[in-house]
Amino acid sequence: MSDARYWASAAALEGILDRLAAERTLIGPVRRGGDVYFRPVQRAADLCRDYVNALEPPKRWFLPTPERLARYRLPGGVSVPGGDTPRELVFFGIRSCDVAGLAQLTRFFSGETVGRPDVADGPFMARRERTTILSVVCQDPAETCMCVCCKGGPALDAGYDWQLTALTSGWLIEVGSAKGRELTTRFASSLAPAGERQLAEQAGRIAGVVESFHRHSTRRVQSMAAGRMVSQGRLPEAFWSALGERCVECGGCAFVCPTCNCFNVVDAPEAGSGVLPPAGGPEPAVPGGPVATGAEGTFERIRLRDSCQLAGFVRQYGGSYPRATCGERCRTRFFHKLSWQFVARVGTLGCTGCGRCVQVCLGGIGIDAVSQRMTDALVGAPAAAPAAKGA
Amino acid sequence: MAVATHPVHDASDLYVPRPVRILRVREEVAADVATGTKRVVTLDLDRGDLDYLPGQFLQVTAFGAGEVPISISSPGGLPGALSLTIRDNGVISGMLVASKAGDTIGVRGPFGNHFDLDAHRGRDLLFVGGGIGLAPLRGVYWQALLRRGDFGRIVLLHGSRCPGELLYSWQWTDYERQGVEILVSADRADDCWAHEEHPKRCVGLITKLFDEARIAPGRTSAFLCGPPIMIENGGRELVQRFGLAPERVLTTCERHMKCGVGKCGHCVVVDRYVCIDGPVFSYEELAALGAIEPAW
Ligand SMILES: Cc1cc2nc3c(=O)[nH]c(=O)nc-3n(C[C@H](O)[C@H](O)[C@H](O)COP(=O)(O)OP(=O)(O)OC[C@H]3O[C@@H](n4cnc5c(N)ncnc54)[C@H](O)[C@@H]3O)c2cc1C
Ligand code: SF4
Ligand code: SF4
Ligand code: FES
Repeated sequence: MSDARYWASAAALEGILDRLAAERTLIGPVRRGGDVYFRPVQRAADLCRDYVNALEPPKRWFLPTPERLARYRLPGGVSVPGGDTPRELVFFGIRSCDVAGLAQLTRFFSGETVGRPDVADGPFMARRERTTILSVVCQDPAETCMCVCCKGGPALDAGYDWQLTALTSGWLIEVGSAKGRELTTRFASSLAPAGERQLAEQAGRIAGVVESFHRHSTRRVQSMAAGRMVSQGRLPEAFWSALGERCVECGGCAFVCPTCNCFNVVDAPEAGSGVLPPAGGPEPAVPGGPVATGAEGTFERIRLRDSCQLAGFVRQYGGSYPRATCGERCRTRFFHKLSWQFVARVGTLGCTGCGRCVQVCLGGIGIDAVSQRMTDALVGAPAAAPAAKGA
Repeated sequence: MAVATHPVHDASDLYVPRPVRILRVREEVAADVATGTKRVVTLDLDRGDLDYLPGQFLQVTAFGAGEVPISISSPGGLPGALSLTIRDNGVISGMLVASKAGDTIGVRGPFGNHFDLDAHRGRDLLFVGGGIGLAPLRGVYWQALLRRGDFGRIVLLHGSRCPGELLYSWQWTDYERQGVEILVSADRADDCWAHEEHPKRCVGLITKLFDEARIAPGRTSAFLCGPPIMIENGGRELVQRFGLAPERVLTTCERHMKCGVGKCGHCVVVDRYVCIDGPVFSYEELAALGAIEPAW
């Protein structure tokens, strides 16, 4: 828990956000059609108030897809993309599960997770460093929310610059970083030190949210039991092939996950450059595969979101696949999310409990259903029971 | 495993290939439609200030098509060119194989861990290269020859599908002169092999050569590279039948790679990133990984 805690009235916070929106890009929840997205807003009044979480995690603002990594002209030289500094972003209203997800991505892309700070990802880190996180504690979680099982919320001890909790009157602000302290100094005239009563109200509200999980959310990530099963390789092939049969390989689970980091890299003619593969020239072996595009024109190296659930992800030359079946790829995905081996390496589960994969999975094999199946396998219950309903 | 040289000059360059000129192209294997043989060439590159350790790899760009991982097949720490031996496996490798002296390709790296010869001082070195798998071993045995006195016997076993696919035969006489024992095999003989008895040639799988190699298990370290099936069977034979210590059987794990720096996730095997935790693993480590993921 951060030691510096303040209180701001609703009007004062709105004033602060308006000032930030005027000088940086303020990104927050907005409603588009029936869904909520993180999008830039001009002023605080444009922010959506009644939302649980956005459909997509905020990672698209740190790992845009497609993203240009390099550019070259043939025949000729290579240049780094423009060198333009990313914009200063301020996120308001991002939830704890996404703060935890972003913290995980930051440790990963900085090279910390794998013990290699010398290979920090420049584009990601440049964006992350120019971002301020003003997170808001959830008080009305959805049925799919599971942060309490994954140390992903509803409130966090770190990872944010400011963590805000809505009180009966105004907001409680917890400061989690030097950047957060700069903001409190700057907006000191709009803030008051938090009083005992406000701190007690916040603690009571958070305890109430944790309590409400047990009442409202039937979903759980059975992290301990599932982690043990997957870590020790104790689940039979049939367990994974049964999951594989349910997966339609849409990749949705990885694309909406706040911690999934995998990407693909391709070299392609620059958009609008008019360079096309020579007529009658080689076709890619599979859609999206490489083609020889000729010796002239402007090309770019781009990266795109990718997912270990997809066959093309592991494809090697000659069309061989180290994880040939969808079931094997399911095993890899859940191993990365839940195994002790990865917990030891990453420091946390690969899941922050946001529940998005539960919402998007067409096959009913979100992480809750899968970890439940693993637990059932451990205690000997019929493995197919939980996910079968409603499928 | 020791982390080798850190290649990255500036984080913003992490994914940006640096252009290098090809000095020479040597054809190692000619394409043959009849036998399904793919062309293999060795490209000698103007290395500039790029240094590396044996077993490391580069991400190599065929400009206009993309990037693939290729092992370095020359010894590090020496002046002179950097060599890559590349087989025409597909689109990008095919473009690299078709390049000519004077052309420019792109490189990033070197990446990955390496074969640490110091850990095998005083021991016999057994190199087992199946097909193009000899390429990553070439830098290692070459390096061993530069300090020949540090090691006991140096035995090189090389096998391929047919005799025409054997690599670096132009260097064998020279190696033998330096005290390397070379034995070769081909899965099937060609006309030339079929009509001529030769003490160092064997028709069959490369593992058949193990019997000829007079392996002293207690003092031998083995270095295996080749197709997964060869690593699996060869490694098992060396450990189970010949009694080599599993941590003394070193091999490489090949996985599709996009970044080379532990970011893109493509090369993950169980909890390892082959690009930074490997590609060199001991048979012992691979077997432990295989307990969960037998697909390697
Ligand atoms: C560490 C390491 C060292 C190696 N060393 C050597 C060496 O010394 N010599 C050698 O000859 N080979 C070596 N290889 C193998 C070499 O990397 C392959 O031959 C090469 O990657 C083949 O690529 P290609 O484009 O020519 O093949 P293709 O079959 O045309 O393409 C295969 C590649 O295309 C891409 N691709 C295809 N489909 C898709 C899709 N749907 N989405 C995204 N991407 C796709 C992937 O990158 C895939 O690997 C090494 C490999 C590794 C991992
Ligand atoms: S695995 Fe599913 S629930 Fe967990 S963080 Fe990812 S999308 Fe959210
Ligand atoms: S969301 Fe479900 S169906 Fe889609 S790839 Fe993930 S597991 Fe498969
Ligand atoms: S090649 Fe990208 S993580 Fe290893």
